[in-house]
Formats: sequence, structure tokens, C-alpha cells
Amino acid sequence: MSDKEKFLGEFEQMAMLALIRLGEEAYGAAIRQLLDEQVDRSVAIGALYSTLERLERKGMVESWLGEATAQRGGRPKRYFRVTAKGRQALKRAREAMDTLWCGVSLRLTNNPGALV
Amino acid sequence: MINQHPERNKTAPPVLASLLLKFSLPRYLCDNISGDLEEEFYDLADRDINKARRWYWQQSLITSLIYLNKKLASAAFAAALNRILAVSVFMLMVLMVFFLSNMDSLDNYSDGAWDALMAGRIDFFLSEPEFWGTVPGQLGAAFYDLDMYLNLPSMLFAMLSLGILLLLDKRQGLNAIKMALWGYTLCSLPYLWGLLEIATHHYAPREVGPIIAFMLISPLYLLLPVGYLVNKKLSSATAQHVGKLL
Repeated sequence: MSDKEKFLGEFEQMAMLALIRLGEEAYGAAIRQLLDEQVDRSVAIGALYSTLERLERKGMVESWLGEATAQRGGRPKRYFRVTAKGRQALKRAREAMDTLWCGVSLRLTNNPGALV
Repeated sequence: MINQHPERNKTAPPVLASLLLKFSLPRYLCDNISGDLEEEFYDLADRDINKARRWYWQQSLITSLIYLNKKLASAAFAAALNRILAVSVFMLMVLMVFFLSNMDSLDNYSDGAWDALMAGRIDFFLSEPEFWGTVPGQLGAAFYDLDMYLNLPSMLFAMLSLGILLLLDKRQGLNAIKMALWGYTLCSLPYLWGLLEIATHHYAPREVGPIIAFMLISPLYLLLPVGYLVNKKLSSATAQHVGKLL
């Protein structure tokens, strides 16, 4: 599988979906809080930026500097947005998972070996 | 998401944690990440200041670890290390040449000093306290008489080596690692050749001198230009990475 065809990682998908949900308000603190509140995934801001930097290098996310506010000690926000290439990769990852999930049903029991 | 409180809690984030972030984060991200953390910190501090402090420390520590790890593996760190090493070894070579050119006796050195010198094993003197004891006094004097650093075979070798490096770079477009491998291998070749040459031939003490001069002065000429070429490669790699984020 070539580099272009590699699937997105789980956290990469989560981060990109968070960007899409937040729209114009997608910046570090907001993304971190959305992941914490919506999927109970408490991540370090450094881990989030590290992932977003990687996605930006792959051309799946783009970023730009926003306004500096007093609430942040005069420091500017860095806003993120998913690119067309990123949306395509997300769609592909979802289709792959949908394909694999097709025909599989999980019934939780006390016996982990008897799921299907 | 983030509460926009008009009146912020007056308690500031832990200073040490903020300094840790400033030290570990790359300059282009420092303000963004610190701002995000500060914003959330004040939000939490309005409810529970102790929890906010703990959260800020936890976030700062993990974030610092992530970026320190990246820094250690980054081209910028490698460039700094390359500069320090190239200049340090260059200075060491200068001192060695000065020491050997002005040495009149080995009386204060260990028993095997003369044999090591005749075998071309100049590295032997690095473990001699007497050598290091003379270093402070030599530092200034080492640059007064530059004639001792002139050596024609070394000049020719250095020019040939630099020519090879530049040609390889032009033809193959060497990356920083290949440039460092080729460059520093060429720097160490004269020393290795000298050791082998002396070990496999029977030279009189007077004949060993020019070989040792070639062993030491060739790397002396090469180290700084090679260090510069490697640094240039590493700096362009760093600039390309940062440029994508600005």
C-alpha cells in the first residue's frame, strides 16, 4: 500500500471530525474540549497539536493565525480547517469501516469470546 | 465550548509550568499552545483553582515531553549538535598541532607516551592530565604562529575532499545524513590512513613527523567547511518543515 493510500489513524479521524463539527471555531482549546465532552477522550494539547501538524504536512488540514485576545494573554489562536484532500481521506476511512462492519453485530455478554 | 468570562479569575497559571512550556515548545507554536492552555486554565480556575493548577501542570508536562522528544529528534537540534561538535574537534586539532609543534619533552607524561607518539596514536594524549593541564595556557598562544598549521599535502587532500563532496552533492543531491557521513568520513580518513601507514612500515622518528602532520592538519582544514555544509543541509530541512506551518 503506497503512502497516499494509507488509512487515517483513529485519533486523526477524531481530530478531523472535530474540526468539521467546530467549523470556523476550530482552534486548539475548542477541539480539545469537544473531544473531551463528546467522546470522553481527554488529550494533552501537545498530542493534539502534534497530530494536527502531521495532518497539515500531509495536506489534509490547513491552519492560519487568528486574533490575539486579552483572555489568552494577547496570544493568537491557531485555527484549523480540513482540506478537500482530508475530507476525501475521511470518507475513504469511513467507507472501509462500513464495509468491514457490514454483517457484523455485537451483543455484549459476560463471555468476551461470544460476541458475534 | 469555552466560556467567555468578562472578569477572569485573577490567579495566574503556575509560572514554572509556563516556563517549561516556553522552553520546550517550538517558537512558531508556543503562543498558540500557551494561549489555549491559559484560556482553559482560567475557565477551570473559576470553578476550582486547585484542579485548574493540577490540570495545567499535567497538560504542560505531557506537552513538554512530546515537544522535547521532537526537538531531540529534529533537524534544528542536529544542526546545533553538528556546530558544537565540528567547532570542538577543530579546536582540539588546533591544540594538538600546537602541542606537538612546541613540545620539547615527554618527561611528565606516562611511560608509553613516546611509543604512542611514534605509532601515530595522538589520541593517547587525550587521556593525559598533563596535556589538559597545558590547554588553558595554550589557547591564546596557539593562534600566534600560523606557520605550524600550513601543510601542502593536507591542503591538497582537503581541496580534493571538498571537491568530491560538492560534486556528489551536485550529482546526487545529498541529504544531511549522507553529507555528514561522507564529510566526516573524509575528515577521519587521514588519521586512519596514518595509523595504518605507520603500523605497516618501519619509519624513523624523523619520518613519522610529516605523517602525523598530515593526520592532524587535514581534518583541521576540512572540519569547518564540512560542518558548514552539513549545517546548511540541516537548516534547509528545518526551514522547509517550519515553512509549511507559517
